[in-house]
Amino acid sequence: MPDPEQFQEFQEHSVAEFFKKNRQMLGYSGKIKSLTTVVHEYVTNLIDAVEEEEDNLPEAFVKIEELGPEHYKVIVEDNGPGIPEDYIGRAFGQMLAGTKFHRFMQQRGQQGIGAAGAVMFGQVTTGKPTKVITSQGDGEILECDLSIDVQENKATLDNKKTYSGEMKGTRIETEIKNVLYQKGRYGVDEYLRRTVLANPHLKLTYVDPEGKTVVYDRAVQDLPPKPKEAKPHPQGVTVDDLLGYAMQSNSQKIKSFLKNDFTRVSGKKAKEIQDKVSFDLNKRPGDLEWDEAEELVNTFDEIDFMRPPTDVLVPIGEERLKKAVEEQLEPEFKTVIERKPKAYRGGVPFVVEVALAYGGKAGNDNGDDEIEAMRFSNRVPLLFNKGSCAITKSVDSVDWDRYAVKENTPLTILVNFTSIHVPYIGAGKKAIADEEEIKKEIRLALMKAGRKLGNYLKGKRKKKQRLQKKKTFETYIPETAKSLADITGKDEEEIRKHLESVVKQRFSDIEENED
Amino acid sequence: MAEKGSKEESLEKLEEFGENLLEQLNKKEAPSFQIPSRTRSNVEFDEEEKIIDITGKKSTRSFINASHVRKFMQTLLVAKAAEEYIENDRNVSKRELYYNLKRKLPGTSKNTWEDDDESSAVIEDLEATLGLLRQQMNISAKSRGSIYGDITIKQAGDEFSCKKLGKGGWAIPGNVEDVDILDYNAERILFIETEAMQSRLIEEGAYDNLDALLVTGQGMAPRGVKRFLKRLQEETNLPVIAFTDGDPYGFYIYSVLKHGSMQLAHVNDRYAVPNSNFVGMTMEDIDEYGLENVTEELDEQARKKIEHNMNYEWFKYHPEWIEEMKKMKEKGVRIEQQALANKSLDFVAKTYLPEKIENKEFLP
Repeated sequence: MPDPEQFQEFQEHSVAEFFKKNRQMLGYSGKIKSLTTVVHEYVTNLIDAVEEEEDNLPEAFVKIEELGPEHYKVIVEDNGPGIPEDYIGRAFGQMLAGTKFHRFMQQRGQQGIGAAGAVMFGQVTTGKPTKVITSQGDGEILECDLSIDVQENKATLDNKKTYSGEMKGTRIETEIKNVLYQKGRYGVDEYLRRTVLANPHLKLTYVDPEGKTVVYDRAVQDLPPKPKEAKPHPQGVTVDDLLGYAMQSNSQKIKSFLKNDFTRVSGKKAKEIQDKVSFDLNKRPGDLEWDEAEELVNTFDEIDFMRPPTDVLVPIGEERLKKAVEEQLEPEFKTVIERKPKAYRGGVPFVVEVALAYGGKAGNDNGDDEIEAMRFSNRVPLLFNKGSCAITKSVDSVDWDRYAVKENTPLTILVNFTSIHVPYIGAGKKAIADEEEIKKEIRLALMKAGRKLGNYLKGKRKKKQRLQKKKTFETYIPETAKSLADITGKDEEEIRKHLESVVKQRFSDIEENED
Repeated sequence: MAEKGSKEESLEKLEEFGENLLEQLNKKEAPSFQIPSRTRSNVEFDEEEKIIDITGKKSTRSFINASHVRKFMQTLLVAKAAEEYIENDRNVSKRELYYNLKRKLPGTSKNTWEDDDESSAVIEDLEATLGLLRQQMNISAKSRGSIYGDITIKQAGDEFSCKKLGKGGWAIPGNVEDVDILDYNAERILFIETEAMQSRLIEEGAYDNLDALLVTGQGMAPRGVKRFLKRLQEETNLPVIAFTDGDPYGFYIYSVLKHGSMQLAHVNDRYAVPNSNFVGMTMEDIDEYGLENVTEELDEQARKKIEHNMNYEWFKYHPEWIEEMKKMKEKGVRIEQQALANKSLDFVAKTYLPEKIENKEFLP
């Protein structure tokens, strides 16, 4: 399956051309999906951009205008740092900015392709450029029309205008055709709703094609920490990877290349490696041969390395997720489980977090009153390819019946998978691959959350049963009181009160006010 | 303490029942009362009194028990109704009571009771709890059966002789508590299973030549008949002789007459006539009187009945009964009392009964 890393080989040819022919790999297949993807790219970009600023809480404005049948305009505006003129082309008009590709860092999307892909899509379907309006908050606003030169793989800025005004941030307007706006599981509304859940520090105002405005307020008032850049871990690295890193290394010797460019390779480990390989590690990294690299990879497998560091991961966070869920779903019961970081495929760190929300506005999967399962990777909602996703498989593998969850229980399940490298099943696919360690972790988190929910529901059910039982007694009080009053000649009202207090005492454990 | 069997006694017991519950309430306790258990495993044969009696095991019916509360309410409902009926001198049938007290429970779609199985069970429970016959609570039993013979009784201001009512006898009502036995002229009381046989005997003037009061229950004797027999026996001291079909059912009818029934274990002392005897039909009669020709084969159900009978304690108490059941099994036949017509129509009245009674050819 092609994955972003393989785009490297297309550096010779135009990547923009590649897009034109293979846009489904970037998410532009299907009318509803394509519209959602455009919004996704811009919003993801925006959150990342604003988070670059230290003290700024991101605020976004998203509007979808219907211009005709299957013809829309997508407008996204943020309160970010704004983009200097020289960088506009790079940010939005160039596909594969290159260096970002090999960054070992937790990222929201496929950096380097995203926003440009959306611009490309607009261009290809309407022939029109994307309008960019931006300002760094210095009183000067820049407006221009951005289009991508497919042959040269670079951006062109036309109709540039600068004027003064109060603005800080970027506004981008792209016209697109052959897309469809639809409410429901794959649509923009759902995408935005879920994005806010995973990014509770984001304030979002959304205007839909009908002109209706929804404002999502922040659930938390502080920024999440930024994920640190990670270095690759020796275990799990392939020969190809190794050669690639070696080519790019600044180190003079292979020995220091291993120590500096990898994580968990100490001097001691380097010595251990040298003892096992047939060649000299004092060679220049650039001189590393294929079979030598192969030897190294095999040696890595034999050696015990410390597990990769995990501060490179930034999940949503237990407290933040709780607040987000509370804000949006106002559930009767919620629980958040955050697992400890683990590694899959030998070396790639990941962490799973799960939230369950019951009652209130939870559940109701688009009106079906079903259990709603939301998938996220690196805080980005995954809407498509549900069936193939490891998250879906894990959710399905749990015996929810054990936790008193039935088919029509108003439940929302939220799973966020965070990693420096998310193993998608394919390019453009929004599903996580079926790795055993990943599924295991998700399952464990779900079951732990499930147990808590189960205890709550069982307690609730019990309470309901107790209440019903109490009601049963109460229905027999009037006749009993009347009969007893008649036989003894005593006051009926008094007898009734006595019986009521007997019942009340028996059920004193449950509160009076219940739903 | 009011006179036993009197109206006052009933009222007293009902009021006491209510007061007891009220007292518990005043002490802030959840009210409850005890009911003697009457299930098969909770009855025993009292060999001294020779009746089937309750073991004394009681079950509690409590208001604050979810599986009791409905019946608790219903029991009080019946008690209050009984008081009313007694005070107003009204008698009601079980079915009338069921209708009379059936109403919606406030705030629900349920009723005080849904069918008369519910109300019947509660009536019996109250009987057992208070030690009162339901007739004493003015809830009358079915009337069936009659008495023919030289006996004068009085009820509701009417006096009459039970041989001066035309060709039939006096229909015994369900409630005989207010019947007074004024006078009689007989040596024995004959309890007859079938009405047809009673008619036969009436036609033959058997009350006279047997010096007997002829009572029929038309099958299994209903409460009224049983109660009447009991009172008759107690007040006249005349021996009771039972005459049924020669089959396991007839014999069972006799056993209930003599020792009471399991269902009424709580009140058998007022129904059972332990010193009664059985004249026939027996298996020996078949041989003795040449009735082989008019027997009938026992079917599967009858055979099962024989087995059931033999398992009862009170049957085992009488070796002669076990003997009789065994004979029945062996012969594999039954003999109806009306089969005696095979000899001649008046055989039963002129030969069979007089002979056997004279010679005291009875089973105990």
